Amino acid sequence: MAAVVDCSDDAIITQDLDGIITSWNKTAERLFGYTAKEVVGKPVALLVPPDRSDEEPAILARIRRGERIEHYETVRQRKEGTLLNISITVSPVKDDRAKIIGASQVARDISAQKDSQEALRFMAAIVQSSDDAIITKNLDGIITSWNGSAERLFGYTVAEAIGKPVAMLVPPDRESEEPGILARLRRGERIDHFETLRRHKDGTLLDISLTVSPVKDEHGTVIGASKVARDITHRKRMEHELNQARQSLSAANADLEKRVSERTASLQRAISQMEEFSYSVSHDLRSPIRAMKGYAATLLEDYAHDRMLDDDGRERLGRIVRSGDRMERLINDVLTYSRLARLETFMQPVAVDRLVADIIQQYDNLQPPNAQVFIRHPLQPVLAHEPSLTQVISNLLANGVKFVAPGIQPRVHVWTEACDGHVRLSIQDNGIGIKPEYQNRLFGMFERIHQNKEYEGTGIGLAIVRKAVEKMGGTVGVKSDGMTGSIFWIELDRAPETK
Amino acid sequence: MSPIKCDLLLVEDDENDVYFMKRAMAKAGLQPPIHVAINGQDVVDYLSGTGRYADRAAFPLPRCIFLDLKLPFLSGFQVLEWMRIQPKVKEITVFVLTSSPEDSDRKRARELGAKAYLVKPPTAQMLLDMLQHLPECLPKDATGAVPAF
Repeated sequence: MAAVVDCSDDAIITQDLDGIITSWNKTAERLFGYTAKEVVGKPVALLVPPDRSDEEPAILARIRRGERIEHYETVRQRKEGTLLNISITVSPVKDDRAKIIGASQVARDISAQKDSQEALRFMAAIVQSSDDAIITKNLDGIITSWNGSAERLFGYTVAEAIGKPVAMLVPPDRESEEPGILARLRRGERIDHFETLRRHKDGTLLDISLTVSPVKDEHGTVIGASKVARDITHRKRMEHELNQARQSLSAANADLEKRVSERTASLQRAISQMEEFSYSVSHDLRSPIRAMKGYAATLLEDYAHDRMLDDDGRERLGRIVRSGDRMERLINDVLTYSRLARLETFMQPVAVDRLVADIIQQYDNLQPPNAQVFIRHPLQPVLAHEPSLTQVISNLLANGVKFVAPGIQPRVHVWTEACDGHVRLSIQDNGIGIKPEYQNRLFGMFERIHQNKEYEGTGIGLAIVRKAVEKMGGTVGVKSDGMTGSIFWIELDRAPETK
Repeated sequence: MSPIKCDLLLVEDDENDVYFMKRAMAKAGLQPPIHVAINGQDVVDYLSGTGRYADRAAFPLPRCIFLDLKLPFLSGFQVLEWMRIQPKVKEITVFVLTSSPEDSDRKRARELGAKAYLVKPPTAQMLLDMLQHLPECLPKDATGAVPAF
């Protein structure tokens, strides 16, 4: 008997009715850390933590009344002070005459059991509070558990759901899904984030993402499944809306592109028709002008000396010739403009220093005593179409010396400066300037700011400048306070370094 | 200066320009026989001696032609192209006389075999310069430089 007691997995302790330990087995030694020698003869209260000091007298009182205490779960203290979860069963011990003389106490360590219970409660709390619906079912597809989110998501209470087939959540057109899922589960497979539709108690359809895992018993046999269902209605709606937005955007884009290319084509047709028109009109206008001028000139030539024409007659014929000249200049400028517009501009490095020198040499009115042009050498080379650039610089220099107050010698300064990969060529004059409010009209066709007859011009010169510079990918502008002259500038790409 | 004997054909649809040409000739002291064709088809007829130009005595093949480019029916360029493949006609010296200062027109005229390119209006000096190409037509006392394009 003693051997049996010693070999038991449980601690077995006997005590008398005063609570004094009378025996102490090997398991008790292991469990509590005291040897039999240390505790036999001591009060059993030795094992009781201070906050439970009233437990032992109560147990003894019940023992005295002949009662048995079964599987009482409590806490005891080891020799070294740590606490121990145990389950105790206390039975009265009687003598030959059935008189109660003490008690036997069987104590079992339930710490491990306690931990796993704790873990289970913890798990249950997690499951219950999860935002995802968590459902378990057996292999027949019958619901065996149902958490709070499942209630919220599907509308069925726990009572309504447990014991019902999970198929009640499946819409009719998806009935084929469930047998497939069950078959995969039986094979032990897991189904991850399967997006599908399920039905709420009120019949509305829900977009959900399902993760289904097999649940196995301790032998590894699949006995059911846990289902985690996440409501993705919102995400699906967002995806749908995003998709629609993307589609309508790309449709709008395609439509826009089509319209832009149609408009561009029709604009290009219109522009080229207009250029064609101005070219041929200008050509056709030249011959009558030439005839008028020509006949007036012959009259002057043939009749002037013979006094058949008086001064007044000569003056009027002179006016015809001058008007014809002006008309011819206008036509030539329009032609130049339309020629520029139609021209293919081949860009190449141009030595601006040489170009400006050539232009000045070509025109008397850019040279002393008519005018002075000061060049701040060196002028940086640019990437340009040389004939166009010649036209541009000639026009700007001619303007620079033209618009000066009477009696003042025109003085024009020319320089370049590098800015940001470009070269800015500036032409500054000492002329009458352009008021800021007129400057934006300056580069338009037929815009003449100065109505004064002294400043003769066609109003096309700067339009030509702008057209030419823009054809070369450059920009053009003016700075003037309207009193002390103007600075006209153009910006073009810098010519690449030559080796 | 003495009048020259070479026949000239002026191809010109604008009667004002015909007048100015004749006047410039007179100013230059040249009074060659000037025949006038008024459009591209007309000049082809003249040079082939067909239709109303069948009489070669009245309408002889010219020594040189002053050719306008903008012409009704056939353009001056088309006339030049046609002339290049006509055995007798291709030897005739052609001066283009036009109101177009376009480089592209100038280039095309040279490619098609024109001897010179003149921009209207014609002047006496311009005509004297042209005749340097035709020494046998030039009056002995005339002066001028051989012009280039």
